[in-house]
Amino acid sequence: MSISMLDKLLAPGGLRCYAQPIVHVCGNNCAVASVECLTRGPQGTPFESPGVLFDYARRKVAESTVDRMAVATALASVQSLPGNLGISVNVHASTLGRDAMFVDFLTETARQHGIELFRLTVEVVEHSPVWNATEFLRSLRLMRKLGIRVALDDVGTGQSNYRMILDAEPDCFKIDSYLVQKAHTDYKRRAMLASIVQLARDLGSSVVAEGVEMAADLEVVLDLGITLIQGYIFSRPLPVSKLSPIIANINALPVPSSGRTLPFQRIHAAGDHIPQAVHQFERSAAVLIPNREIG
Amino acid sequence: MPRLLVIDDDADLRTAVAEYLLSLGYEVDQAAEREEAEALLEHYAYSLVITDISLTELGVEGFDLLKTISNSNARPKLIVMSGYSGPGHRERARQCGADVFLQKPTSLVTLGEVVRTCLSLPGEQKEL
Repeated sequence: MSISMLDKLLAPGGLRCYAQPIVHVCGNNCAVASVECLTRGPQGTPFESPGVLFDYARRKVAESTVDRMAVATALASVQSLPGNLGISVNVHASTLGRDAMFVDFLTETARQHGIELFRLTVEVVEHSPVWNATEFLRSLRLMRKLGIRVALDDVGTGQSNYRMILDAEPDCFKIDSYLVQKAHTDYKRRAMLASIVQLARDLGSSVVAEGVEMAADLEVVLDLGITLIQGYIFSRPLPVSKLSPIIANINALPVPSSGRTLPFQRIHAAGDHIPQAVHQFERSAAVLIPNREIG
Repeated sequence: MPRLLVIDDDADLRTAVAEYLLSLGYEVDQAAEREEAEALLEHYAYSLVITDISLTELGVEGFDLLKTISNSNARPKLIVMSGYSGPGHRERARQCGADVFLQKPTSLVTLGEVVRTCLSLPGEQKEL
């Protein structure tokens, strides 16, 4: 019996944690407020991509199992980061709806790694419109009671819709990069962003703009009043071990005004920060087995 | 170079096929089960898929997977390898979108030739 991909993912070292800073831009200053933990599968395989990894997990109806392993990997990885940084982890809504013990698992894992619960934000992601609403909402209430914040991921796309906003009452809206990127050239995207910002204000939620890569798009979201920024313009996702100098560099950067000389060049000059594709498959040397019979 | 997907629940066989195709210069991914194959097909555009349809993991769903592959947006060329050789089996594979039906046992060299030929041809149905 061969080992399934799920077994490989759940084996020690099967999942790896990358982290990406979420930067608070205030006046002329930048400060890393938190990091989002992002899961990667086995290096050198197509499952290194989180898209493929979690697509597979959902097809196996194993979101809860993989989410638990991802959270455990993430919290073990970020325990060395400064205690003033928030920590975001992604969790499927279906996990919160099906796994009645998930919140207990999360809090116990955080305790094991010395991470205080008020630092945690659970980013709710969902790719299926059907979940156990009662259990899901119970999990959210329990997390809030413990001081864990709730963010709604991918707002503006997929299942992160108005119903989810009403039900989840998120502390934070994370606006999907689809709406953010090219906003500087697309009035429709700007209109939608403005609408979401207004909705978040009315509901008392904070807003993070995800996927900010271009200076012009940064200018748009700042002008709309979004002050929490995540994207390649500050840092691509990195192994946590490489994050500290990047955080120090971002914290030292001024935010330019209308001139918009953005931090991109300076970050590049700091080294080890050139955006590049995540998927770089390293293949072992192929073994030629001429005329070997198959089957 | 074309990107290929090899689907088989026999790890030794799958690895041998994948490594031989790698040695020919193709980029090759592997899947051992239906969900793994579907997740890869959803996210990557393959030029050609080689699959066994008598997979223990897949069972009767093997033919459904063929339909999924042949109906995907990228519509890769599709080579079916099977130890079953009956005309009904071949015909069902053809109806499910297989471009080539390759009966086991066969050699890696033969498979390599079939892959090369299949990639060079437009989507005609072919039986070897």
